[in-house]
Amino acid sequence: MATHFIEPLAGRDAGASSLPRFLAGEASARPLAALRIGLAAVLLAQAFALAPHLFLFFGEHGIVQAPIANALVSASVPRVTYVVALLAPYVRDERLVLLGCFALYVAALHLLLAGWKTRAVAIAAWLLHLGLKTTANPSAYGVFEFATIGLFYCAAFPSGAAWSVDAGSSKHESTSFEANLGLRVLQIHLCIVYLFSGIEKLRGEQWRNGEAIWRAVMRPGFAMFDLSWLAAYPFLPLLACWGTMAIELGYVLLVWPRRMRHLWVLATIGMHAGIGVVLGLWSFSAVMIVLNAAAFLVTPTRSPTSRTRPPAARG
Amino acid sequence: MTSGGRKRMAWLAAAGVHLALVVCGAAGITPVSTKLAGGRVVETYRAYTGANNGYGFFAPGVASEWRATFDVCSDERHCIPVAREQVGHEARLLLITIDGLLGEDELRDLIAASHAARQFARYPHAEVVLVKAGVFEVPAMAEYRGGERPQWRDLYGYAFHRAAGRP
Repeated sequence: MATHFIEPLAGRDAGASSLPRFLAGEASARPLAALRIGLAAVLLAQAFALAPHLFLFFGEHGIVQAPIANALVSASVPRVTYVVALLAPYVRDERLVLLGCFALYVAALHLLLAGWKTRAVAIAAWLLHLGLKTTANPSAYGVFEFATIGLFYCAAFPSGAAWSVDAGSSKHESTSFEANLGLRVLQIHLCIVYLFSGIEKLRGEQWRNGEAIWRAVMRPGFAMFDLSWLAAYPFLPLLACWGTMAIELGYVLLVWPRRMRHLWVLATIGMHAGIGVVLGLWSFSAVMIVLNAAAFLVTPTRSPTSRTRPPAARG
Repeated sequence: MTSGGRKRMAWLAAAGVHLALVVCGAAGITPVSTKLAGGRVVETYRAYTGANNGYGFFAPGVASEWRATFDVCSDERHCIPVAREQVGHEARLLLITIDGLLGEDELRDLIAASHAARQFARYPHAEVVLVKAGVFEVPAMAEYRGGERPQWRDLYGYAFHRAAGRP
């Protein structure tokens, strides 16, 4: 069905000619590069915002102590406490290990932003992020989960093959099957996200009667402005609730036709910008905006003659 | 099929499996029982890649906000309320997330104990730490128009005593 909707991506391989071009075509890595750059920038800003409180959330003696935090996550997922245990014969102060892990994470994000040795750096950033998130698991909210997803895609797909130090200043932008597949996986993943989010909301009475938005803006932890006056105009929260559900439920269908794509993605970005401004969830909103922009607003170049990537561009 | 074609098929199959796991995560389904070795491998993969996430943001309803408040006591009759650590905006969101766990019955005691341990560390002379878990109750819009106002209500209280001989 996708080939009827989607701008076709050029470049077919003999071995994959039977597969829909939607999945098996070739594209440049521009969207993945946008994901890499945007995600690294947002996570760097978040890391600097959290740096002064590192021990409070990630320390063994922070608000939630390590034994409790560890008990809430599968033992197979990495965490700083494992590194602490590993280095125990050499480093007695666990805070030094945490600082080291955090410094490595920040360094990896800088290199990811620049796109230097991108594949290795993306894997490092992904695993370090995962380790820090797991360590501070009780305090990890949505932005951590989407950052994990985004960093995994940066590591799995050639996010360094465009707009990067690795890609250099080559005038001929390479295209690849992997870059196209990475873009498609990201796009489909976002459709799944919004479809299930929309369905969950539709099931909730609060979303159907407008109370959800009212309750969200009245939560003291989120309230950036006094919006209690909304109670006098209940149609406004009602409209916002149904608008949110329409955007989320419509995403899976309306983000594909070229005529609707920009409108729908901009509406989605507007929704996240609104969440950022009104509820103060700026890092979460910024990550969602990056994911959407990378998936649907950054157009990959298509060059059927350019089938292979130069060695320098392998990310 | 050429080796390049096989490689592409393998990539496509991997992507298909990954997205199927994403759907399972979104639907709250555990695709393979964790009692099986294969199931544990799948769960690990899901945890590493984020494919185990659900996406019900503020859904089906917006949960009430929880908070922990503390009194530290030098003895049972001399208690003073203490403020939480001052943190920036992003860090405050993390604190709210931690306090949100007070709303979960199976975690409330653990989180309260963890909060208390933190306060004992902040106040070395405290012998008792009282932890109160409260919820912010928001009236419906119609009730608000009728004069009701949102308010904090403490629902659970804990008293933690410093263990004898422990710093």
